[in-house]
Amino acid sequence: MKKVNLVKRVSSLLMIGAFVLAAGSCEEKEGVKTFEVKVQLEYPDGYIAQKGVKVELKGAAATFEASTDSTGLAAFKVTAGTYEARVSEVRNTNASTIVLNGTQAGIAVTDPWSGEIVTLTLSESKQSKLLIKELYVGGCQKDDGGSFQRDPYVILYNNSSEPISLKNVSWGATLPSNGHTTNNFVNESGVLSYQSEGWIPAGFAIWTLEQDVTLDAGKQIVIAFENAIDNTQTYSNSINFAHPEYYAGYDMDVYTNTTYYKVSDVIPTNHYLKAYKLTGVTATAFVLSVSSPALFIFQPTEEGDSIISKFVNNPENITLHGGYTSQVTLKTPVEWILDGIEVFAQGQESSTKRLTDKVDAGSIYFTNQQGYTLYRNVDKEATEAIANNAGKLVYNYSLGTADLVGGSTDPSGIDAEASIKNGATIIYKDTNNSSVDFHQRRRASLRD
Amino acid sequence: MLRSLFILVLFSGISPLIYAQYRIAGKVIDRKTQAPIEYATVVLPDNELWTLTDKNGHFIINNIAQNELRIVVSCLGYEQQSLLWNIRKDTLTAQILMSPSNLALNEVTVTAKNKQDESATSYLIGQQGLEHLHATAIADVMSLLPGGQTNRNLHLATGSPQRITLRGSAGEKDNTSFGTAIEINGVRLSNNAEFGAASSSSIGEIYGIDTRNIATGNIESVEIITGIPSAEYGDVANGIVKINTKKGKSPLSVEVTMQPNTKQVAVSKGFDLSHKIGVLNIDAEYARSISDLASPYTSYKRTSVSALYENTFNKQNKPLSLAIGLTGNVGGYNSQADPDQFLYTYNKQQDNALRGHLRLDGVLNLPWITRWETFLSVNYTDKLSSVNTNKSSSGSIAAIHGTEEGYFMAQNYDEKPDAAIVLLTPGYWYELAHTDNKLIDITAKVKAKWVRQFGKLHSNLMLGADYVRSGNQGRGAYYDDLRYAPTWREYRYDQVPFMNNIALYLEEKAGMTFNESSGVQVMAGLRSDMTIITQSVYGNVHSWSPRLNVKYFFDAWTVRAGWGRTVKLPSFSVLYPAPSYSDKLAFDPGANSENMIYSAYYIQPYQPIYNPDLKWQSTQQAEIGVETRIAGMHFSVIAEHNLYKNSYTSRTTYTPFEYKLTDRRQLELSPIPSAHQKYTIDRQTGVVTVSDLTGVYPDETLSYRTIRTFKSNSMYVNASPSQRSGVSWIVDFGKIPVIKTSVRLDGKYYRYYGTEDRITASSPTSQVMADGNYYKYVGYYIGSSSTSNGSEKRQVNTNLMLTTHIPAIRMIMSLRIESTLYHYTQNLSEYSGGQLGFALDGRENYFPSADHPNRIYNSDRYVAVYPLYYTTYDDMDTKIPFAETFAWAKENDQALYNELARLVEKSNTDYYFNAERLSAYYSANISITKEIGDRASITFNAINFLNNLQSIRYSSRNVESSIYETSYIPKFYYGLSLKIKI
Repeated sequence: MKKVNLVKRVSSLLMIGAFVLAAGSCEEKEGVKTFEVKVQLEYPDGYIAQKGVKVELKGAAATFEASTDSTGLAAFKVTAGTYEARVSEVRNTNASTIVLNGTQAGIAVTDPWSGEIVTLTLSESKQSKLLIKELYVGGCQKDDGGSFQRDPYVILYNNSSEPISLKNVSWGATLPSNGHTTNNFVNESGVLSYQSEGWIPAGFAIWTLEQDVTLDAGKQIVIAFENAIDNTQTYSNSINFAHPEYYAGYDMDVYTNTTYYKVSDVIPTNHYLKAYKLTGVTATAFVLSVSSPALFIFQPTEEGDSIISKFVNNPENITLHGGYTSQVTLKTPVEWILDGIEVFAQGQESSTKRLTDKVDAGSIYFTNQQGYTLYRNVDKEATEAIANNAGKLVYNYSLGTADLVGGSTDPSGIDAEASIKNGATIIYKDTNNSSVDFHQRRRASLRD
Repeated sequence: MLRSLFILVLFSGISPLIYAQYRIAGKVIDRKTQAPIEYATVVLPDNELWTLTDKNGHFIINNIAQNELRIVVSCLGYEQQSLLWNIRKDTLTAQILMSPSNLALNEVTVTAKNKQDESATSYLIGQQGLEHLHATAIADVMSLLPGGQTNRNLHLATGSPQRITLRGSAGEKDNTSFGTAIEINGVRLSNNAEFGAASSSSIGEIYGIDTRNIATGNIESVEIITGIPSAEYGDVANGIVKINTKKGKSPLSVEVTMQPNTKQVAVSKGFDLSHKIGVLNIDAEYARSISDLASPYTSYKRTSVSALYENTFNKQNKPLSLAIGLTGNVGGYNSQADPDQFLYTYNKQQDNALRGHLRLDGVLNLPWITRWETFLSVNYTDKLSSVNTNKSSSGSIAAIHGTEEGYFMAQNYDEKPDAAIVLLTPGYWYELAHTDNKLIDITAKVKAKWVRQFGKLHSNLMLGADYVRSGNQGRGAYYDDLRYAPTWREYRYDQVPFMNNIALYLEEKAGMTFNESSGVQVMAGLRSDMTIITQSVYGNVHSWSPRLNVKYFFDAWTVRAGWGRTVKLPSFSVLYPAPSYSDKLAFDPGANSENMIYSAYYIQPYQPIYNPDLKWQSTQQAEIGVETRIAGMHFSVIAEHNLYKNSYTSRTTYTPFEYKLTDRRQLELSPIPSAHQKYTIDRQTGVVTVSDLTGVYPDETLSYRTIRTFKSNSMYVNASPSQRSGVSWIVDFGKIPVIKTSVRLDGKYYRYYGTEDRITASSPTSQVMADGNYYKYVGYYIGSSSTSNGSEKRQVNTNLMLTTHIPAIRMIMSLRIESTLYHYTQNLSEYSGGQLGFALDGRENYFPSADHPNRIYNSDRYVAVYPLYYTTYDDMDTKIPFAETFAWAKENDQALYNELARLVEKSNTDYYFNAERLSAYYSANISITKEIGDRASITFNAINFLNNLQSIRYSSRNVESSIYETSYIPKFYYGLSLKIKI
């Protein structure tokens, strides 16, 4: 009995001590009260914490940065509010480059602040040779007013130093299509139900490059998702896709809606992507979100001619978003996924993540209908390290949109497109975190 | 009772005995001013005799053979008087006092009341109830029925019609709004001849008329028949709404109504053209409703003018009444001025109407005929909708207009404007599309009544004939400029023949009084409809409609029972379905440097599928009701059961076919430079030839591949029976003198149960199989290709109405609390009494749960349904059992299993088959009417004035959410109405 009382007393003293410490973690400077928030990084098995890893606390008004100590603990002094903690740590090994990503939203710092340590669990992902360099989905202004949004495209880029095969490279986009609509995959704990199951849902259909195309290092391919023609003849702010090197999402056996699907006769037929419509989908067009898609590219780890077909047509690989039979999704294995980009619509602060940390630990805000595009940032250090780039890199990048509400720019300051035209080879940023890797560009690169 | 019935039937067939004939005459005078009332109608309803008072208020009716005499006296602006006289000699000096209809009266009714003298259940809403309700749409009036609820439409300015449905609600089978008949002064407002009224919903519902063009300012009364109607009413399945407009001499009346979204001005006057010429009522109304207070551009307008002329000849002896009415309405929905829309973009929907009628109603009072009536009417509705849309395209668009089978190449409009396929050139343009429905219904009716008396037995035999001719003189869908017309085929409604319906009916309404307080009344009728449909397989279709109502009353009790059958004629969408077309891309050369795409299509026309076995939709109604008065309180309970048979619904059929497709891969192999290529396609073979415009290369024939797929077509069939039953009640607790407040409790229990048992085909034909071909299987499901093939609904609505009437200050205030105490819906998956669907262990499963496969209801499980069997593209006649084959394929043929899995239908959620019970909810309205002298009155209404924010619980998901802004209660709004009589 006495032992129990002793335990109670000790625990009470510890609690009082913790409270005093917590209370002591509050500071007031020039009338602004700040609180000490500590974030402890929790590494996957086999990894040891390192000193100096940059951790961010992103709030509604400001983003705070701090570096970890040798135990992986980062300390911040922040004002009261709700924060998202995030980290992207890149580690190079002999065999590959590993990215350790972690995000945790909904950290409410209140007055009084309890001082509890926030644990940020990191997940391991690998850098890919093939990247999404640019995603243009928001459309532009028409010449008679209104907007034209049926001209989306993606540019894939070989970010490595060696050629890669694009056979069976496919793309899909999650459901819900928009980041700000109800996500029925979020369970009662606020976690994506598929996070622990190793797959990402691809909604309605996937598009596949079935041809055995080789993409050389530092090269790109342009894929027009819709209307692969010279759209500028009618919409002067749009994109001219009538180019023999471009690829087109065009499969009239599957998607027959001519409002969405046209193709120029200069694009060879072996540049068409094949559509795989999922079981139960009856729509005549694949409608990609024009405001906030979560798009990813993948390539099966196995090789073979009908790998995609077998995978898509196996009902075991199909699930329904929210159970709705019209919201069919394909359970795409995370280990197949090469890259992804999570886009949120500007002003939609309550958007929820759809890509898991292993694919994309961040997000990028986007304003549509203005001709803006989402463009990957330059890895300044790696790009400048290429000897052949000496004197070819163009700086003072001016196409960022940091001056706009919710806009962003490339912190490297390098104008990638101008540098490429100057003969430089660009290495793009790849931390599997859209918040770090992308910015909103003022103009589609195909209009440069 | 049975003995009385026997005597009644026995005596109906023999000649009447000779009884003494009396005369009644008298004077109708204003109770307040003692002035004689001219144009008052004096009716002996049991005798089918009537007359009109002269300028001195005098009336006379001869040859009355009855002792117990019911007399009903009515006149515009006065309370109707019902009197019971015992006539044993000529009565020539009767004085009938009429009280002006205003709030100074002791008795004022502002709700629907049972029509006591009818054998079938019907309700009457009078002038004071309508004014107190403050209705701007006729749909508002339905709220006054027992258990009725306030119209959920806040305004008229919606792009879709607003309809009335008696007995039924959204999502149910049986075309309930289509089956609800609406008449104004006897003119039936029918939309049988309307095309496009059918929806694309899974139940293929056909909708009834849009009621927004009915002016409300000139309505004198509304009668709603929910019971078994008289045999004179045909083409009905769900009850009848009869609207009577103001008749007779009346002062100039101006009424201004203001609601947040709706403004309405109504003017009316009844002109006395002199005693010989008659009375002319002129009414005019203008109403404008807007959809958004912040952007008052999208609107609905109603501009209605009506004239009703009445005169009675030979008033003193065998009067003959002539009534001629003409009503016109101009208006409709219009979004043209909305600055939020694109320049010049608009959506206009005309809702113009012209209704005319002529009625001759004569008393002959001869031994073989008592009264006769002839009625002629024309109802014309102009439903032209015009939608102007801003269009643009960066590439040319193939617009397919051809109606003949074959392969056709797209051509430039300027070169061949009448080509089967023309190219809309890239750029910007406006597309002005019209859909023109001009409905005409011409009606001629004649009926005769023969009233006889056999002692205490009273017989009223009615014989009548109707002729209704319905047609559509609209042009159908068309485009203002064919240069910009998208894929479309002309189908002119005005070339579709008229539908003619001839009906004969015979009805005996016999009554016997046993003593002063008891008697029995039997109404037995038989209606025969012959529908003549030319140029279709339906030809002539005949239907019978027997109807029987019995009413027995004793002391303060009345018991009613009825059984009958009503038949609803089909719509033109059912009778004359438009041809359909399959347009398949046959050649795709890609866009040239000018973004022109000279593609080719294979056109295959499909003639409409007529169903020679189609039967006319009918309803078997049965009802029983009890009414009584106890201790000053009035109780009324009516129970009904309705069986709906052969409702019109659509089904899809699949026909295998193949066509040739030449894609660009073939064209790429051609040595002819693309800039010099010219394409032609053989109309019969579909073979594409490429020619060199420069003549350097010879013509080249391209290879093709053959595509095998299905063409789907739809046909109308009869649905499985469904049931609606219910109990409605009214308890009038009477007036509490101290607080001058009367209390009324009314309500309704409603149950709907409907499942579909008939086989229906479904196939995801646009899906591509793993082998690259289009899907080749067709599943045949019981009911529909969804997990649910029906539903059950139950609902209990109760309304508590407190009405405070203070005659001294001529004011009436009412508080009405509308509550839904029980709201239950259950999706069903049933077949012949058994269960159709099965429970899954998870939404990704395809086979029944091993533990509880049959627990689909209230089990929080996903549910799946298999087709009963399936057929293949190659053999559409062999029915392959699905369940067995699917299970076998799972183990033995993965490819087949994968493809058949597409035919398994699953529920969207794991709570889809959980019963949905909503917790009770309510809303409250308040209305105040105040008369200021004899010339002005003000009415104020506040709807849902507490702006209810209560939470309601949904049992299927066990969640709660606010009722605010849901359709369960009306939105909060208020309105004011001012009426001035000059």
